[in-house]
Amino acid sequence: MKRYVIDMEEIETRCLELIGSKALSLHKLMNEDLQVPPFTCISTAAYERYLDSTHIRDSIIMELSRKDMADMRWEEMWDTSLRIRNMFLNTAIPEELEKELLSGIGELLYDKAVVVRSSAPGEDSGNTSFAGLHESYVNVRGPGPIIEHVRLVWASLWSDAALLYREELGLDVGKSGMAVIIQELMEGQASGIIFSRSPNDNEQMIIEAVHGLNKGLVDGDLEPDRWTIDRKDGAIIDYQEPSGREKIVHLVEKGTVLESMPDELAQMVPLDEKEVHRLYQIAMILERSFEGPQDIEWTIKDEDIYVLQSRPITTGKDEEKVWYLSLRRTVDDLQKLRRRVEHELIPQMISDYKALQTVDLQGMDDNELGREILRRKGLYESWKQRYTDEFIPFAHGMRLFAQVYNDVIRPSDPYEFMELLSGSGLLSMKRNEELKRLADMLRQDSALMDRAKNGKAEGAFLERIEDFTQDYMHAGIFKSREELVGHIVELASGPDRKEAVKRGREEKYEERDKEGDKEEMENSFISAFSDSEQAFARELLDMGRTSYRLRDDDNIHLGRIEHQYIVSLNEARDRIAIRVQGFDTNIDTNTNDYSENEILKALNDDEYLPVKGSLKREEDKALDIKEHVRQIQGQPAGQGLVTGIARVIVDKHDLFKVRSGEILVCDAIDPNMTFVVPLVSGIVERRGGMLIHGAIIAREYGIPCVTGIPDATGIIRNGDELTVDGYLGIVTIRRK
Amino acid sequence: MLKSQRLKESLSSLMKEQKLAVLATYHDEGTYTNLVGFAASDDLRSIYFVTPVATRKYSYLTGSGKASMMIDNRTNTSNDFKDAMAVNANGRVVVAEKTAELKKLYIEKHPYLKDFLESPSSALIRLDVDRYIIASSFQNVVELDMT
Repeated sequence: MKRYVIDMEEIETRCLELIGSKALSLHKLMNEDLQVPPFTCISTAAYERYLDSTHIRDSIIMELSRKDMADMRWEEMWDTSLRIRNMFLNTAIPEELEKELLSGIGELLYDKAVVVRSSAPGEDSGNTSFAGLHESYVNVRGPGPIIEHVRLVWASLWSDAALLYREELGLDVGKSGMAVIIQELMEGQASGIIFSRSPNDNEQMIIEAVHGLNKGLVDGDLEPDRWTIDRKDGAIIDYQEPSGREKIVHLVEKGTVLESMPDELAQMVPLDEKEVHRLYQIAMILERSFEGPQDIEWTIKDEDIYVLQSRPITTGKDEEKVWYLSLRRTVDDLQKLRRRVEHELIPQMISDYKALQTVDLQGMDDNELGREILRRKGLYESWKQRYTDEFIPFAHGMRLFAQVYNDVIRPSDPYEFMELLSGSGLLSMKRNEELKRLADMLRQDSALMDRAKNGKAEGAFLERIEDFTQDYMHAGIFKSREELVGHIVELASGPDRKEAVKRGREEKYEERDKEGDKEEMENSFISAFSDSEQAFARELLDMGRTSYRLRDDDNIHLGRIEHQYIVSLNEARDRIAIRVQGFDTNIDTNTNDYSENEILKALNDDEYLPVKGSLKREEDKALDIKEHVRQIQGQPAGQGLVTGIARVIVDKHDLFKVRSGEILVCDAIDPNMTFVVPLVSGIVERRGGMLIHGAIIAREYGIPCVTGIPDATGIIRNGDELTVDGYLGIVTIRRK
Repeated sequence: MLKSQRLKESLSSLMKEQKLAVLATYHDEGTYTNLVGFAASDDLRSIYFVTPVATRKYSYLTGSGKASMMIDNRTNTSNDFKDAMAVNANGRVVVAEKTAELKKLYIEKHPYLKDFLESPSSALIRLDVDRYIIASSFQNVVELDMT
């Protein structure tokens, strides 16, 4: 029988498949007579037994069969990972196995603070390393919490990052396993990392150090002291002092906390030259032993140096994957990002947008207009880049909150946390509420309604329309006031959208007072923390809400900038239309097909006649269907069950064809398009994920929503009868 | 042991061992088959399976009230002609209430289908078996009347 717990003294190289790469690496460190904090290892055999005796293995297979991973976006991988993690969170280790694990771990470790680390076979082997794909937990105390965290480390075999690297890891539900190291936590006076070979210079080594635990350094929250060493003789080539040693990571009752550094300690360099030299020697030993450059974590306690782990230096990764991994931020980092997004970037965007509004495009000559178009395009592109670099990472605040909420509440629905985030005043919801008020004005005044049906607005209604135009008419969605009025007429005259069938938990939830229910949920969440941790819990909830709101609002602001760019192009198109017509009155003066390049050429040369692009309309794609998909599985993103007629959006202007009660079928909806959502009975989207804009707005309105339907706008046609099952994530298509 | 008793025991084991069955339904325009995960009651009088309510299968089942199911243990080799057992269960179908007892029966056999069973958009269907038609050793066919 395979052993479930293997002590550090009993480890042998041939145990690799049972103990994983990190545990084997610790064993090698001991063989080099280096000091390693005492540890024991829960083998992959224990993971296997847990998986089989609880049937989680079958559930993971079901989850992974939902959609081909190659077709998944990173948001969908995060969702898959969240659902799998929830299975582990809500499935206890069978009693008999738990007893065996606890007796194997031994009481020696129960009274001490320990680190519970992942040790997956193949994670850090040979010359490859996939640092940060799996979880480790610092400062866990007592048998109950140790066992709980073992489950969390097991779950992290299926983390979103691991799913991203599934091919490199050979991740397979039938073959992959996870061992867990339970290791005594050394609270050293100084800690840090060593790159035995600098990524920038093969002849150099880098040593970084901080006071206290190295968690803040590894997480990127602390700026370390840094030594550059000559690998040949260990001489210090360079020393860089940090801009400040302001914070230190301390142990608290559970986990760690980043606190202010005492003044006296802040003045001190964490290592002396002798210690730097000893670390250099250790690094060279490890490099020889492991036959390659190493990334080493260490700590110094009572003048003894302990090596915490050593793994090959990670090199040459896929840029997109690296960007994705960079989205996983710590709370402190997210707080900094929040301040920047809320107090610097968004006010700057608003100011840019307002400045553009005041520019008199009509007063410019053609050359000036050409330059203005390029300036606006540049501004829009630079904001798009900032959106990717800073706004998207801040959206991780929601994910971080989700993880903490699920850890403490352990709900059966892994998306229950969304109830606490929704209703936080999205700009798109405010816009839709204003549209509803405008529709109410028409409903209450039949004469006003009749005039509006002819595209006319007047009186107070006109004033409100003007205000709305100032605030929201952007991103080229509403091209004219007539289109806007037309949409309001549809909102006012169409029958109400169909109410989705809601059953079970949702039905019970509907019956209750929503606000009261939310307050109760909030209280349960906060009170799950100890008194001293409740301020942190509130801070996290607040950040989750801000992240949720800004994820939507960012797009509205970005849409306003984009709109100003489109306005300048439209001004040019109007001028070109007049010029083209002057040459031949029979010519088609629809200038929408002119590319930006052709427009600019025409602005710079008043005799140039622009050539139309031959872009194939995407609409053709929807008609090019040979097979009929009858039913397709995606992700359940908004609970409820509804049947209605499909309205497929292949072009932004199809949004104005949406009629009340239809099912919206789109490729990727953004907040600038969600003004149609109050009309529709359900949403089907190609882009997948629970936290995408379509899913967020569907939740806000309580509309059934299924996301992640590959080629949704290709396989579904206008007029198909669709049933959207937002509980199971299934769309059934009936073609008449 | 009596031959009929052995047959019932073989039937009982087959119903426990097999996870999937072919469900046959019919409607105005013809017949329709699906694979379903099933669980049978101990007395073999009822067979339970789950379907989303938005499917054709569900509308055919509730429209006709009748169905048959085939449960077999073939291995896709020539030995199947000698060793395989194929059972046809005929009867009437109803939408069953998802009681704790029935959920337990179903989830014990299909723990990974828990969310599917518990979804408000799925229905637990009970086939009240009128008769089993059991085929073995290629062409031996026996009928068991359950009414």
